[in-house]
Amino acid sequence: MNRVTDRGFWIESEVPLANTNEWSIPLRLVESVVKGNPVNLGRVSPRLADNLETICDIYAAWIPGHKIPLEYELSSNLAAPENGVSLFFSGGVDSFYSLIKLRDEIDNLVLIHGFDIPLAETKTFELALKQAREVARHFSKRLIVVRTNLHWEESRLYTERSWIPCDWGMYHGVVLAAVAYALAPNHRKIYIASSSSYAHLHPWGTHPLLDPLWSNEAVHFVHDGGETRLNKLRLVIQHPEALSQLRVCWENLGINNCGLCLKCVKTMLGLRALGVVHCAAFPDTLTPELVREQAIFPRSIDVWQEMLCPELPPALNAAAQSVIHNCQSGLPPSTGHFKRGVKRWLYAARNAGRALIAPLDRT
Amino acid sequence: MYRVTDKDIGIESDAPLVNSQEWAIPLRLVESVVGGKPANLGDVSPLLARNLVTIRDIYAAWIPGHRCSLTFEINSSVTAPASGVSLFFSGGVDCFYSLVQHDDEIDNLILIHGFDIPLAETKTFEQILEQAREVARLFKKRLIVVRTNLHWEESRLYTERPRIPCDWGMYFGAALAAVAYALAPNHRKIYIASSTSYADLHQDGSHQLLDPLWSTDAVQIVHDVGEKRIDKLRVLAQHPEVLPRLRVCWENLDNYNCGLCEKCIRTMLGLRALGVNNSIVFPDTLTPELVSAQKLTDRCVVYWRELLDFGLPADFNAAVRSAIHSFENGLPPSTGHFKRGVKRWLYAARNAGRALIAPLDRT
Repeated sequence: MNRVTDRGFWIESEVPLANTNEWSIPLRLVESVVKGNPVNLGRVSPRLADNLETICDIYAAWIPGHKIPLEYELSSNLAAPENGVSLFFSGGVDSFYSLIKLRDEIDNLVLIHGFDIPLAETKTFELALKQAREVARHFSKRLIVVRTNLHWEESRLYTERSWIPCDWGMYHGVVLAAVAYALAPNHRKIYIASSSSYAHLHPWGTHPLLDPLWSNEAVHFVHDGGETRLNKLRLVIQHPEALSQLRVCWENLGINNCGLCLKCVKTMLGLRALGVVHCAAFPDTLTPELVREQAIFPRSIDVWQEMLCPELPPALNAAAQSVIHNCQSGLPPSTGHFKRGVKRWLYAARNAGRALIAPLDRT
Repeated sequence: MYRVTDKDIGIESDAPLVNSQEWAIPLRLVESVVGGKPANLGDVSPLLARNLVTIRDIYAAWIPGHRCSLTFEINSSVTAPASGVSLFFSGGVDCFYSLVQHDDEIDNLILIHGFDIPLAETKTFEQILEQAREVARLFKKRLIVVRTNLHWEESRLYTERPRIPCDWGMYFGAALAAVAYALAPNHRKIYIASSTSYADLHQDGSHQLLDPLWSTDAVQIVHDVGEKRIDKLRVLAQHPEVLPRLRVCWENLDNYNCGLCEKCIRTMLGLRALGVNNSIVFPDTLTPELVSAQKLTDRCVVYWRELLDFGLPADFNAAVRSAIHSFENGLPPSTGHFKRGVKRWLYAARNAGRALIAPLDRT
């Protein structure tokens, strides 16, 4: 097992890892942006050095954090880029879409334990690993398994706790960059599957604006996708071997997909909109009542609106519309229970009161 | 006078223009995305060829339009590289900021007649041209004046009418790329001053994600993302030679800046907050009543939020807060008139009614 370490952080894998400390630059950079401390990044390759200030500005605007002075030396003896093209692979819709689309170009699938699945969750990871092996075999790719404590800190508690300096939604791109650098002896190019379409971009740790900026002389970063979720699913369902191995759930319950969480429900709804009634990857849990119970973020409204199509059965269509309506109206989701009904009316009364006195304009 | 044409669209200038048809690629591409027809783009430089599909996908998502099929020939000698660095210059805050920031690097300022100012508006353009000449003299730059009918079509009416295939806000990035290509014999790099910071990613024809993708092997296009608008004004406030020449107004009235439109008012407020005397460039129109009467939009409210609690006198700060409050609560802005007051209460009653019946959820 090969291992790189930096101040208690580590990445390990059975494949060769980089023997420089460049892999930890993303971590140190973003940590400093959050804390507002100047940072010395050590030796930096010229191509990355060109982009460091922009990366810093973007993170400072998005986290939000501080614009910090950067110190570094330009490294002169650069490692020659290796052969090989990799794709970060979690088994979700985005990474399956990129794998199918780029199957002729991709050599390696990179699966990370310690990313969305904490290191302590060995049972869930074993399942993910088994599926990833199956996918790698089917698509004739090499599977690279990485373990890291970059996200989760081992603690004395039963579960681990997160020790990242900012929200994971913003930080996960940093961890991907660090892993891609650490794996430099295995590829010259790495794909990061997009999570949002071009139509619905918002500040996020992996982003078409941000990801390519992490490129250095040895590893070229490509943010792939920009497609809508439904179009991605449309491609995935044409490959039953991929569809049966989908893993979208982050609940880590020791099963692949719980069929009850927001991510599962959203994906099952998308599949149903495309005419897929039974999918081996999900339990048969999709009901209008389950859909109505979902609470979504305003930034997800567009993805849900996309699924409102004539192919969706009317009851599910109405339930999805209800989810969107509740989000837009600032109401808790409808569960059909009396108590929840009362809560919704109380919220409505509060919202109406606020709207009614708005012209008083107490500014 | 040099001139390039494609169908009945033309660009003309006293400066040398290209003798290839590459300049028209952005226009043809966007037209095809809007019309949904396949596009034959002719000879395309290798660098641009790599990005054309991404540009198409972004425009298809943003306009929104179609992912039309693209046909082109890769030709590495389509346009010969030249030397020189240019900046698109309109006289506004963003381009003055970019000029000050990149003064050492910039050789040419490019002023376009036919973009925000229709060709028929000769009087307004003459005023701006005179000021741009003065700026070019002060900063020791060459002024390149371009005339184009890309945006406005001559009509039998007194005024011209737009001829563009989609909203100008989305089209003007492609139009800037076309002008940058047409002027290729005059530069190897061109700056487009950003109107937003990284914190604001709203879809726009000129965008940090989109502009660099238009780069060719002959012309590098740089979207110069700077700071927040208020911080740009702070930089400009240190350059007394710049302030009297600021032109932010799009009203194209006989006055250089009308002092009454939303753009003028927010710029005047910014200068006021920074303790700069407005009268050198704006008429003396700024009152709290005028400020609170402004109707804000999703796009401009970002700039207004920057002004809050930024050192404005208390009455102006309250007026800014009032304009933002009206926008956020879906109310018409407050003017202090009785009729407007009644209208605001009617709107509030409507909004409250909608909020109150929201739990009925008629989905």
